[in-house]
Amino acid sequence: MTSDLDSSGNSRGDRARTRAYLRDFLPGIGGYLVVLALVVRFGNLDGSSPWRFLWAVLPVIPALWCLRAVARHIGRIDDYQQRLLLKGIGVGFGVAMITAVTVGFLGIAGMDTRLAGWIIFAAGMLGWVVGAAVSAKR
Amino acid sequence: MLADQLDVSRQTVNALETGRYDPSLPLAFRISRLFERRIEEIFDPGE
Repeated sequence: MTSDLDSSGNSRGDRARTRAYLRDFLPGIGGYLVVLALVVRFGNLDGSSPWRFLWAVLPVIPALWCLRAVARHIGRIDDYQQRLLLKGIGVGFGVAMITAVTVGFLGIAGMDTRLAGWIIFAAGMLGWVVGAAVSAKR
Repeated sequence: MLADQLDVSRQTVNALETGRYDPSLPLAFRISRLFERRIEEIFDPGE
């Protein structure tokens, strides 16, 4: 039905949405990397100053900008893309929750869980990526 | 490009054409207007 209209490339709208997303996202991730470098250099996280806790959470502020970028992106994309993206996020959330419970029980059993946050983060992100890819294939 | 005329992604057009996605009502109306056909002439509920 669309032989005269089809193209294998991305549409102008796709490219515009991708540019808008990158404009939103890149300052967040750039800020995160800069703050992270400052924290590692000056934060003295291994020390005993109570200020080290404030230093430790500083990278979260630019990371929130990335969250805002994703939320705005979801608002810009069309219904079908929203469905795929939200399915992926749903799978990622489920994987993160199961991982959190698993790590929690392992912690109770005596396992060192100092890296629990990063393990849960990685599992959630991996679940999001795999969930979105599987949804797109169906 | 059809995707631009409908203000959706190329991925969405592909999903519509292969029957993996039923369009929202506003999108169905945009498709109907673009092809100058009634919605029921374009989409089959497939009951």
